Amino acid sequence: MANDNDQLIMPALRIENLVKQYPQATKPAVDDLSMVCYPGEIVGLLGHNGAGKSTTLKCITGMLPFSSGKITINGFDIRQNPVKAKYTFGFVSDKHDVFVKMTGMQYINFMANAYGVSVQERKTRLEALEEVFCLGDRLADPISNYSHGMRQKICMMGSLIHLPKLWILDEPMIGLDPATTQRVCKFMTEYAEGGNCILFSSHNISSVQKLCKRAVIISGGVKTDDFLFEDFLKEHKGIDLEQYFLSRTTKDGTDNN
Amino acid sequence: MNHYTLLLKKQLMDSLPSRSSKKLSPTNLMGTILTGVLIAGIVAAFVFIFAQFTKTYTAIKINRVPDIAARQYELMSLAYFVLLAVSLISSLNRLCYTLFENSDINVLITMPFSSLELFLAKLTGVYIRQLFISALFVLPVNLTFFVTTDSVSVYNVLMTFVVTLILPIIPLGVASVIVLPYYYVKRFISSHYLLSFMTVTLIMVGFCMLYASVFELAGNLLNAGKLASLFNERLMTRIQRFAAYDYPANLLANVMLGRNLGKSIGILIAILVGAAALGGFVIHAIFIHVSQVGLSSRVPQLVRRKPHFVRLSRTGNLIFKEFTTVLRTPGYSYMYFTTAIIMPLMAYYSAKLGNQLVLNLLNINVGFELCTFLVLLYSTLTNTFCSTGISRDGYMAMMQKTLPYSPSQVLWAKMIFGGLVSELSIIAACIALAATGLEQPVDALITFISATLLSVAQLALGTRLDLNRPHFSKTDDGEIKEANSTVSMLIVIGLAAVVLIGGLLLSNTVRSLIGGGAAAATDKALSYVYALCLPAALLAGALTFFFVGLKKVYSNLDTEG
Repeated sequence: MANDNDQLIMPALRIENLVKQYPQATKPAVDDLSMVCYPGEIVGLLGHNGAGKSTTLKCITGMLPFSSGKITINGFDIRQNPVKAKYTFGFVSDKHDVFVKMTGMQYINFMANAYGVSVQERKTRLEALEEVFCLGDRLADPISNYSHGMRQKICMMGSLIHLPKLWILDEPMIGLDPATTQRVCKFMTEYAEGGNCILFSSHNISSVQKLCKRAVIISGGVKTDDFLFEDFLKEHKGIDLEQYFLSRTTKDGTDNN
Repeated sequence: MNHYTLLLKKQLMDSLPSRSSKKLSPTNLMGTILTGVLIAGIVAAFVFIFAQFTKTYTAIKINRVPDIAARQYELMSLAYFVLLAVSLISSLNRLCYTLFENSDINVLITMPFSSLELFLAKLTGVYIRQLFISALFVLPVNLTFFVTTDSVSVYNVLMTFVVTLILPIIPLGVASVIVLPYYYVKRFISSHYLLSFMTVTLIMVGFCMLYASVFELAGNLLNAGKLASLFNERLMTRIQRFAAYDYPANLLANVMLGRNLGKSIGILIAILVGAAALGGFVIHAIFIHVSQVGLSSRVPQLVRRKPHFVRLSRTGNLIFKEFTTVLRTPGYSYMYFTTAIIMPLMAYYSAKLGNQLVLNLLNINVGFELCTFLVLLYSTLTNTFCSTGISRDGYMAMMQKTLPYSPSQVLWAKMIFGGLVSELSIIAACIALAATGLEQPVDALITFISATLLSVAQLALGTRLDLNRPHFSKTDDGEIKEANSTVSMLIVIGLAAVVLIGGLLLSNTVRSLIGGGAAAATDKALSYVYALCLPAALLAGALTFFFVGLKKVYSNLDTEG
């Protein structure tokens, strides 16, 4: 999807020929992956289990080193300028990793301190985030007492306290109740409209279609598709997206995972 | 294999220390040997002290009248009381873990096992484990007692094994009655950091008092007359009264000494049957119900604080995170804070006793050398907490990598936090030694610098070793329950360094003795050189090890790798 935008707007994320091979693995988990995401976009990274989505996100966020290629986040190379790059994105992992010994509020403060957010800004931002995630009084409780869904919420809140230009989420909707999912989707749309970029992984094409204008499909660590839903559906009238996704991610068109 | 045997086998397998691979690595082997040596050392020290105490105590006269049989009964009665108390605490902890804290019940409860099979297997597993603990305590006590009092007989040996077998039953029965409230209290305390800290502090005070008493006793044993005056008529009357009524410890003492055999055995059997029946009934009644519903409920908060915003520096933020994690995890809180607070007391009592010993035996003052050796030794053992600095972050170690911190910022924060705890402990120890005159102030300053250098070296080494081979906790609370090979390696390296420095200091003292007074000043200066230069060299080596390839290793850190 690299296009003329490159000349005008700085991409929020640029991945060039990313290769990640785990030690002792016979083939790369991610192989020669390239993609560009721009401010204002919500991009869905699609693939079946083990396709390389989480590995890609881990390489982008600096969790894992990669074998070759280049990743630039808001103009900063994740290898050359990791700290500067990390200031510009927020990440929510699929495991809802969080310091469980802290209270929700302490975690928010911890994240705000890490990103250098002023006290006044964090107050205002927390109020806004509370409208979406509604943790209320439970912010004062230790996270160890939180349910699965509540941990997901506090992770999301913590990752947004510095209003990152790029918000990266790994399977974000798992564990959220329908009402929160609806509010999060609305928030994501508004957040992207505010000039920020959102990249999230999923293996559910329907949820991606509802939220994103663009989808990137990977299978076996290789990018197979990168399209705008609107254009794609115009070109392939009457296509069953679910079936198409399966055909692109599995050998025989059925999900064996 | 029937269900009961299958479950029991699983239960016993769970009790064994886990190995990441079937092969015994050199570090694991070293750790096992070290643990064995430490246990053997503790048992040997106990046997020595208990034998000396038995000799002195049985010789005590009341109104100038000796009564060896009465003293033996009192001693055995008190010893069994302590054994039962220790066994009760151990049983309670194990039962609580097995029944409610071990997550295996979540899986087992959905499988086609009856509640009776589950319950019996778990209870048997706990009993077998307690049996080992019982043997570890009963055998040294009984054998030392009978050898010291020249009363080894077939009956005594046989009864020792019988008592070993039945001793865990009574505490298990009592533990089963109080295990549920104990679990709730424990869960409540561990989720309230202030209460948790207070509990840990109380435990710490208890340990200090126990430690002080043991050293006091050891000191008195060196001076038999002092011990005899300690056990005056008033204290002896109290002991006699207590020994007569501390059921069922006094019954076990009767059985062991062949006193009132029929009556004692009768009551004991009744107590054992009662304890087994009561324990079985209570646990069976609560086990499944509690596992199913009661324990997943939310722990009520005592105080719900109004959310407030606190701005910290970025490094301060990481240190605060370390502090919160440690303070709110009982295991770590104990590992870091309790041991660090106890360390100065241990150093002080050991130095006092050691100095007294050397003065009595050799008539020389080895204040500086001994104090330096002890402070280095105890701070080395205290600092083993740094070997889990990375591992204890669990999965969050990966999330932390996505935050805008460089590897050195993350690791320095961990080292600063560990260093602060360690330094406060060393400062307190040196002040205590200088204030009590065990060491000259200038000597105490050198001891402090020496211990600081070694401590920082150990922190750098431990942190880097843990980074190279982390053992991430897979539990929800991130607590690492078992010591890993990094801990063993750190203990071995630390002890080797302390023995080397201590050995050189000691050899220097011996040379000073041979050389006479003229050489003393030169040799003191040489002692300073040893105490400062060796730890400094170790620090330089440890920091080099810490920094080489740091960025790459941190970058490769993977909780799932």
